[in-house]
Amino acid sequence: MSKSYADIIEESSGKKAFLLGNEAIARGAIEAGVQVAAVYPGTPASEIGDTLASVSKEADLYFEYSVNEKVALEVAAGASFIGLRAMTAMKHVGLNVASDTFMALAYSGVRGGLVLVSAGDPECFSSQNEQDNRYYSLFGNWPAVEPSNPQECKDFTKKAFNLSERFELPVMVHTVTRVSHSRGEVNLGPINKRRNKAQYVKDTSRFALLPANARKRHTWLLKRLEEVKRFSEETELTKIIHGDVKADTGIITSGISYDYVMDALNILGSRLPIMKIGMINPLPEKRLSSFLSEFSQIIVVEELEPFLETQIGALTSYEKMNIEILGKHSGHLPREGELSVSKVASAISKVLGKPSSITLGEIGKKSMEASKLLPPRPPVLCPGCPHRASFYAIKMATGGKAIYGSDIGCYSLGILPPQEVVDYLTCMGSGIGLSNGISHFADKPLIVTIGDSTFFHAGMPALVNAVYNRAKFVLIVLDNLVTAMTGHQPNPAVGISATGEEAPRVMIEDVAKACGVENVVVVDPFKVTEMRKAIRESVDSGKLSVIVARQVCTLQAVGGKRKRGEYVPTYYINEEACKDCKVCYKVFACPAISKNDQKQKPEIDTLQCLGCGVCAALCPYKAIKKREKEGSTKHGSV
Amino acid sequence: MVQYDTVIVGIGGQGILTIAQILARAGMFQGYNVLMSEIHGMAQRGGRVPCSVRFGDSINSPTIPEGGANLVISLENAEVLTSIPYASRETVFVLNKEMSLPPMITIGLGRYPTTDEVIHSVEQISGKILVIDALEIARKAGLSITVSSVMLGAGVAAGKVPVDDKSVKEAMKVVLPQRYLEVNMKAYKMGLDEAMEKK
Repeated sequence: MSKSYADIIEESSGKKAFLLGNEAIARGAIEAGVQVAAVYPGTPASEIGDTLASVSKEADLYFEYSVNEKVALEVAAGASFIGLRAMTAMKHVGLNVASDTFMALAYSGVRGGLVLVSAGDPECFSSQNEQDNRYYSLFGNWPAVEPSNPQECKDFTKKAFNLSERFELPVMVHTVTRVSHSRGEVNLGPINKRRNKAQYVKDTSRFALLPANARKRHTWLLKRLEEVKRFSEETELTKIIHGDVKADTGIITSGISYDYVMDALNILGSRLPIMKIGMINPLPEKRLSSFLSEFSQIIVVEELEPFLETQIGALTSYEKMNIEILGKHSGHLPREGELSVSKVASAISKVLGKPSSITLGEIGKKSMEASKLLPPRPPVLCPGCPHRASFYAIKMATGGKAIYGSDIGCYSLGILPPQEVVDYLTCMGSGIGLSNGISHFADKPLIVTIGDSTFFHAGMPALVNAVYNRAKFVLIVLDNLVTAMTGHQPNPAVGISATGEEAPRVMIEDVAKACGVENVVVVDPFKVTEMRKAIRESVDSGKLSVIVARQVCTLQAVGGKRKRGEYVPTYYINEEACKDCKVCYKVFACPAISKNDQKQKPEIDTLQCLGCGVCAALCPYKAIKKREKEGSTKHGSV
Repeated sequence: MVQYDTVIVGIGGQGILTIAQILARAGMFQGYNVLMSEIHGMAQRGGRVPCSVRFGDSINSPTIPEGGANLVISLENAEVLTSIPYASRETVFVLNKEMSLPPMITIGLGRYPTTDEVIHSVEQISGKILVIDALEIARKAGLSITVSSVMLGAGVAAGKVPVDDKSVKEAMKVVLPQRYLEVNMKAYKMGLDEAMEKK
């Protein structure tokens, strides 16, 4: 356990800690006495699992990284079925993968408290969509709470465990990027030392959802939800902030939007009354009606979809209330992108017919001009990344004239120039499935790339499908022996468990062979010529082929070497031999290499170079050389 | 009642999250209510890392409202342009002279603006701009990766951020490994002095 996680297991109640929203969620789970946690990482939820993993021993907690979100939820639910307090956490789209299990769990109900954290990503900072997972809680009949800051992240998560056990239903904690990734002071509470006993009690009427049981459980569920609704009417998770008693406009909000509303009202010098909804499913209809009845108009402020707004609109119709509901439907607030204080302030001032004091005017225009000057800076593959070498080999072997399927991971960045060997990527594991469909009609070679973790996550079934249905493509598994993009979590390819112990290794080439793929080879992408040859041969064979391109993620490799005090070499350019042919910095395009305009020759930034040596192997003039030990890259000695 | 909002911009790997945490915790040691917002996920891959640190009793949003920044610290030259929506006439800008050419530029796509263009753009908003050769100072402090601490020091001095040396040192103790503590504190002080001198 690193020093930064000490606060997560701090015993003394009443102490304050400065925590990330996600760390606060982990702390809340530990205060609740969580016994089992299983996750598949995904931004912006990853730090919940990482935090729990790092304190699992001290917190007397079983933790695992599961192969995907569905299995993670099942691991947690299984533990709950035998009475243990369990949780999982995932990014919003992860719940799509887990949704089958998710839908069943409200019917079976739970024994030990079961909590699922769903972290949404308005603005798509690191996701393929902006889906609003609050609908999942409504759809799956899961009670759901929504915290607005790190303190509430901790408190609401802890509460979620109690609610779950009390109502025998799983509970969702819903966050967004700006809640999960904001830091603030958190008052720590006591850690529950009581542990539920693991006890398997056979009860097929609940846990075996055959049609006859499922029908009965549906009735049970709807009845139980009425009880939860009564709780929602009373809970302190939802609160009213009384403002100006004469106001005929009120605001209903939840989560991060509450923070924007508060700051916007401060800026506008307004004191509109606010109802902050902490329990977002089921909604407290009586409390809402009573709040609504005080106003002639209501502004509903929430991220993304009109989830609260539509339900509130329906409620006013059922209750025959004459009140105007403003928000997304009225066009005051957008349904896409994330909200901000300015967006909320301008919506409120528009409703009130006042000019917003945040009218940007002149600065807005200048800011537009300034943004035009800004150089393009999309994220790129790191210097020394084995994927760059793989992409180079793919491009050279196919001349850029194949169809290139890909998937979700660091290697999605292969979409950018100069690699441009990623044509389509939609969601986890989909690259192989989509390529099944394309391959039966493709008039060009089809090259599909996927990472090790994504292959295990959702790629395997599609590979079996390809074998069975005679789809033909070359699948290149970019096996960098880690789940890199989400923060370097281990996975079945690695041989290390979530808690750092040795674990059985699942070899991707063995899986491919067992699936029935005949053409399977393992290559080292740093040996570009060999990899290029393997790709060419696979394409020419006309058969479904799997190439496992295995080379450890450079950040992992170099991090390990530095920790052990080993020498990390760097490379330099022999200017006399260099003809500025541009292969290293324009075609291979390592970010550590750039052209020195004065010298009219490229140079390698020793602070960025991580010593993979691929540029040296590719240089047609053998002008790139390894620096011998004296000039170590250890910071400060360069 | 203190209210102070700082925007820190730059590229993944420059130490943005580290100095943001130091500043935030220094604010806590001063007794302020503190909120911080950060973007993860793409940081290690050379992407933009916008970060905000807020001090104040009546703040709720972890992000800074547009036009609300008291101080902008930019660890990279042109990246300062990303902060302009948060700036006003009153905003103090502290800008690192160092440029980091994005790979897109290296392969011949897009254009990197000149320092004059960048400064001119910022001056359209606010005249309070201080340009620092942070790498040079960091090397003098003894370790090139202390650039971020130099910039923090310069920012605190130029922006009159209400945190004292003692709080910053306490914060560094929490955030940084012990072996880097002294050199970063030295770099911070040198950044502070540089900003005082240039005023």
